[in-house]
Parts: sequence; C-alpha cells; structure tokens
Amino acid sequence: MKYYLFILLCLISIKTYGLELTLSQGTVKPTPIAITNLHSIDSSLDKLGENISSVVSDNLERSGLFISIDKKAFIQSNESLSNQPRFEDWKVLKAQHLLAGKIKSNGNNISIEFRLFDVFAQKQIVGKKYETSKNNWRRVAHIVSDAIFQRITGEGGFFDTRIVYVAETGPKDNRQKRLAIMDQDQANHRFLTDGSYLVLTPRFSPNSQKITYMSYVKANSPRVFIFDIETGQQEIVGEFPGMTFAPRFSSDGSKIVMSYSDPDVGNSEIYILDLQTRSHKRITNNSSIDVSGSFSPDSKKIVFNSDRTGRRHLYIIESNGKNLKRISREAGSYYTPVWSPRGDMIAFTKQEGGQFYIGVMEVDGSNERMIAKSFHVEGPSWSPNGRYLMYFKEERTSSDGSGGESSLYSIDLTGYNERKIITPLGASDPAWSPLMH
Amino acid sequence: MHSIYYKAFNYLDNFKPAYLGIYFSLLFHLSILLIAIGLPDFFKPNKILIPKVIPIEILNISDVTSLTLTKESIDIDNKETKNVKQKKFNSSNNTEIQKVNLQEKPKKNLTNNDNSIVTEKIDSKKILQKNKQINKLNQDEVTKLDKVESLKINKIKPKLKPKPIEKLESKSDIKIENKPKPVIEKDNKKKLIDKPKPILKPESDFNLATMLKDLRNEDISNINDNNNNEDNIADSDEKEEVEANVELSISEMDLVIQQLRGCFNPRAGTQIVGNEMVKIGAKIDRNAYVRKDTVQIIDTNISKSNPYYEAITESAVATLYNPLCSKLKLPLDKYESWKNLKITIDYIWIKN
Repeated sequence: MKYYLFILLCLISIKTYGLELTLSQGTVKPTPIAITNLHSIDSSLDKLGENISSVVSDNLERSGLFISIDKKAFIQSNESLSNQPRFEDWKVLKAQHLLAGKIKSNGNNISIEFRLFDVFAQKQIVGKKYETSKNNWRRVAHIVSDAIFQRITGEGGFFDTRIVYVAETGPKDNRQKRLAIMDQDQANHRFLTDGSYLVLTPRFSPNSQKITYMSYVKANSPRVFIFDIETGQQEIVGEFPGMTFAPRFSSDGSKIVMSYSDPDVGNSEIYILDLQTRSHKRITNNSSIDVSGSFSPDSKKIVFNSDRTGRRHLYIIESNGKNLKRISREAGSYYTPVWSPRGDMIAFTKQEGGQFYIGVMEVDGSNERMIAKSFHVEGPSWSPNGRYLMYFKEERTSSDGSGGESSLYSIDLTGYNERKIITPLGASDPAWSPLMH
Repeated sequence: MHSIYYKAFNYLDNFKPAYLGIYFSLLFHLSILLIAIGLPDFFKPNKILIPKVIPIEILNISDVTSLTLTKESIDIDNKETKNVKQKKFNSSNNTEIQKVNLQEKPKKNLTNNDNSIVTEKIDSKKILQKNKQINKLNQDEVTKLDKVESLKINKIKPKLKPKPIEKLESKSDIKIENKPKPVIEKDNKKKLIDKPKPILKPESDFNLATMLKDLRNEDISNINDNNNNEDNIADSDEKEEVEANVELSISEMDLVIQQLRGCFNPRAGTQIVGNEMVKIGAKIDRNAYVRKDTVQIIDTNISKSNPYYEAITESAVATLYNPLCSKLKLPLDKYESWKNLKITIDYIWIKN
C-alpha cells in the first residue's frame, strides 16, 4: 500500500514541461525605478513631498544600482496613483519598480507613507509609514531610501549614515586640519573642531554618537581622544607617557584598539583599551613598528600592519595576542587595513612602484585586487553594508605650488561607480558611520 | 662431413634409453605444433587480398556508374557483349534490340513510372521543403539522373513485361532475369521489396561485365526499392514531419534564449556566493504570450535565510514578466512543444 502511495505521490509531483531552457547569462544594469513625488491633499506639503522624493531619487542613483526615470515621462498622475497604480502605464516607461507615497501634516509633525511596487509582477512589495518632525524630513528620505535599497537588492542600506573627515585648508607647510561631519549625501555639513590643533584619523563609534581620533592638543604629544557629537565634549583616552594614535572602536563600542609608542620600548605596538575600566592590554610584542589596528566585526581578531619582515605587510592576530598570521603576500607596502562590516574582506592602502592603491582582499589574504589607483590614495573606510568604500585622493602638486588638493571619493567594491564627494574644503581621512536607524 | 657422421653415430652409440621419454615427449610436442601451425612455406608468394579488394571496387563502380559514368558503363557493356553474348546473362546489345521492339508500350509505362517516381519525390520534397524553389533545380537534377537510370530500365524492363518475354525468350537466354520483370510491371511495392532470388551465375564466368549486369539489375531493383521506399518514406516523412514539428530546432531554441537573456536582469548588487539556481515554470498561450498568472518558481537551491533570496528569485520570475518577453519568439506551429515552459536560471555567471 505504501509502495502504491509513493508511486502515486511521485506521479502527482511530476509535472512535465514541454520546453526546458537554461539561462546562464543575463544583463546586469541599473534597475529602472520610477519615483513619484509624495502626494498630499495639503498643497503646502507639495514642495516637501517633492524634496523627499528628490532625495530618495538622488540616493538611489548615487548607489549606481538604480536609474531614476524622468518625472516628465510619467503618465499616471500622483493623485490617481495614490489610489491604485496603473501598471501598464509604468511598463511603457520600462520601470521595474514604482515608488508612490503620501504625506500628511499632523501639527508640527508630518506622517510619510510610501509604497514600493514591482511593476512587472504588478504587486506591492514594501509599504511603510513614518512620523517625524518637519525638520527631520531629510532623514526620513534616507530611511525610505534604505528600505527600498534593502528590499530590491537584498543588501542593507547605507543612506541614513554620516561621514566624518578631516577638513584641510591652508598651505602645505602650515595646514589647518579640523574635524568635519556631514550626511552621506553631503548635506548638513558642519565642523566639529575649530582647527586650533591638528586632528587625524577620526573613526565612528558603533552607535555613531562618538568619534575617536588622534589630536595634537599638546604639541609633540599626540593623543587619542573621544569626541561626543551630541554634547561636543572630548576627552583623552588613557594616560600614556608616549604617543597614542590610530584608534578604532570595537564592534560593541566598549574597547578601542590603538597604537602606542612606549618611550621605554621605543617602537609602537598594538594595544587594546577597555573604555569601562580604562585598563589596557598589549597585543603585539615585537621590535618592529605595529600600527593601524582594526577589529573584526566580532571583535575576536585584529588586523594591523607591521614592518617586521622589512616591508609593511598585513597581519591578523587574535584579541588575546595569540595566533599571529601574515595575510598579505604580494609585493609592495600595505597600510591602513580595515575589516569589512560583513567580516569577509579587508580593505587596505598599498604603495607599489610609485603609485598608491586602494585594494581589498579576503581575510585569508586571497583574492587581492585593487579597486582604485592614483598618485596618492589612502585611508579606506567601509560603508555599513560593506559594499562601498570611501577614501581620499590627493592630487599631485605642480611645480608652481598649485594643486595638491585632497578630496573624498566613494567607490563600489567592484571598482566601478567612483564618485567624488563634494566638500567645502579639502578633505582627507574619511570615516563612514554605521546606520543610524 | 665425416666428423658430423662420426659424431652422429657416436651419439647413437652412446644413446641412453633413460632419455627416451624426454626425446619422445619433444618429438610429440613438435608434431603437435607442426599439425597446428604447419610448415612455413618460404617460397609462397605474398597474398594478394583480391577478394577483399574486389568488393570494395565493385561498390565504387556501382556508385559511379549509377550516377555519372553511365556511359562508360554502357561502353564497358558494349565491349563485353561479344564475350557475354553466348552466356546466359543479359547483354546490353540484347537489351538494345529488345528496346527497339518494345520501346513504345513499355516506355509509356516506364516513363509514367518515372514520372510518378519523380513526382513522388517532388511531392515528398515539397512537403519537406515547401518554400524552397532551389529544390526545383535539385529535382531537375534528380530527374535527369533518374532518366539516365530509366534508360537502363527501359532496356531491361521490356523483358519484364509478360508479352515481350516470350519474344525475348526466343531470342536470348534470359530466363533467369525474367523473374523480376513481372514484379516491376505490376508495380507492386511489396513484391518489389521481396526481391526475386538472386540470379545464379557461374562462378567461372565471373568478370566485370557480369558484375555490371548484376549491378544494373540491382540498380533496377534498387530504384524500385527506392520507389517503394520513397513511397514508404513519403508516408513516414509525413509522420516524421509531424513528430519533427513537435520539437524545436536548435536555432529556434537559441532565438528564444537570446530573447530571454535580454529580459533576465538580475538585481544589481546581488551577491552570488555558490551555485545559486532558480527554476521557473510558466504556461504559454498559443499566440506565444506568457500567461503571467502561471509564472512560478518550481525549484531553487537558495535558502530562504539567504538575505538575497527575494532579490534572486524575484529577478528570476521577472524574466518572464518583462514586457520585452511578454511574447516569446517561438514557432507558433509547434505549440505543443512549448506550451509548458521551464527555465533554469543559473546565477553563477555573476560570480564569475
């Protein structure tokens, strides 16, 4: 009986198909998306609705994975769209996805509702509603962008993030360097320090509320500081007789890995500082210079660079100081390693043959590849989804002293979609914050 | 020499009976070997593998004579007629004489037959390749070739007629060859397939002429067989056509794959780690339009816990939702073969 049942089930499960094809190739291109202005009954909110959709559109286009369809080509009006989309009208425009939404006013607050449609499948795939103050509309636009990005690509978004960097002004021999922060789309730019002292290597805390960096508050005595963005207060991390520099937060924000040059030892080593207890622990013990430590996402390992073999190479060591392993194998010198938020890759700066490169490799050192190259590129920083890198590029200084400006750039992990980040001043040492929502 | 004899006798004198068994055994085994292998003949001339070569050449001749060298074969026949005349086999001269006498009646039949053969061929070819005018030229060539062969048939075929047979019999010894005649006359296909018994030929008289004769008869029978076969083929062709129509040709499949490639747009940013694959199925309308409501995922090796699951599977399904692929480039007359469509979408190329 069981036997017959099995056969019967097999027969039922077998569904014969006439034509069987295999597609092993396709076309990867930016996804066309139609982003309509948020509809509102209140005409005073029309401009706001337009601004929000504009920010969303710019965000998605900047990712390089989407292409916004020109609003002038839209057939269906926002009003009718708020009831039910006519998918055929959007298919004509070759839009694969459609974003429609409404905006309402609730006193000082606004409620924003959006729906993302799959035009081909003719169905809604995302629908969300947010309430916030009117001033916060830009952030809502970023959050909406993240939701769309995540739903369509499967990757986490990176739009509701900030960038902290070192703003540079003045001549080369007397450069003024101060901390600056802005949204990832260069909006809401502001300076955090006044430029009276030099700052270098700023890094975000996991909650994006604090920044650790190295500063020359006292001349010839650089120290690691922590800056609170909300309060504007800063404090020195630990009391060390020597120089502390190149700090980075652990993934939980409870520790900092940094380099410490002990005057008694004479060379710099990797240290971990517990921010709760203020106790520190030496991780490396070698006569060479070990710098630029970066935690793995689980904080169990640290990648750093060292010249213990004569040239600067990348090493991984466990947080307890055991199992040291060299991962870089190619020629050239490696600097500023940063562990990807995904944990699968390590970005680095490489110098070889008079050129600087931004490269990535897997954590075991395999599949090393360069994604950016210039006279001077340095200081890669990962986007929170681990898909993009930001770094700074310095132009060559010409014989008459002109040039030499440095700017921020972002690039896709594949080496495509390199974009210049517009900043009011020269910029270096960028750090990309984690998602803020 | 003396020393040899001396040694031999000396050996026999000293022969020990104890070794007799050994010598006997050696002799016995040698004799067995000689029986099995035989003595080598060093003066034997090298073997000429004529029997092996001849059949090959015969085949070549038959191929040539049946197509282009018919005149040569006729010439060869003529050359051989003097010798062959007295033999029991048909000679070309005899057939020529008979042809003069019997040209009118049988020719009509034969020409009719030829035409019917040709027309059948044309019909069958027309069915196979309707819109190709080039075939007409080919068919003309075929008819020409057939006509060449038909001349031969004319020469022989009168013998096959019942009435002329009596006259022919009085003129020549063609009793044996008369056997196939009624078969051809009746145009009975089944009987033609059951060939008459092969003509008995005296082996001692075997030569090229006789071989050509046989080939000619074989040609005739082959032609008839071909006719029969063509009739059968024509019927079977129709069946095969129906069957062939059911399956898509490689170029037809390639065309639709090319179309689908343009519609398969995996989401930019999708990460492919392993051998991600999605199988989708859909029903297609008779006018080659995809029934949107039938598009479904049949199988996939992607875990739902994979953050890219939705992005990958949705992009797979979107291939058939894409307006560029709403109507597939499929041959409408082969609806049965593609009414159910299954596409295996392999994502590994993105990884590479």
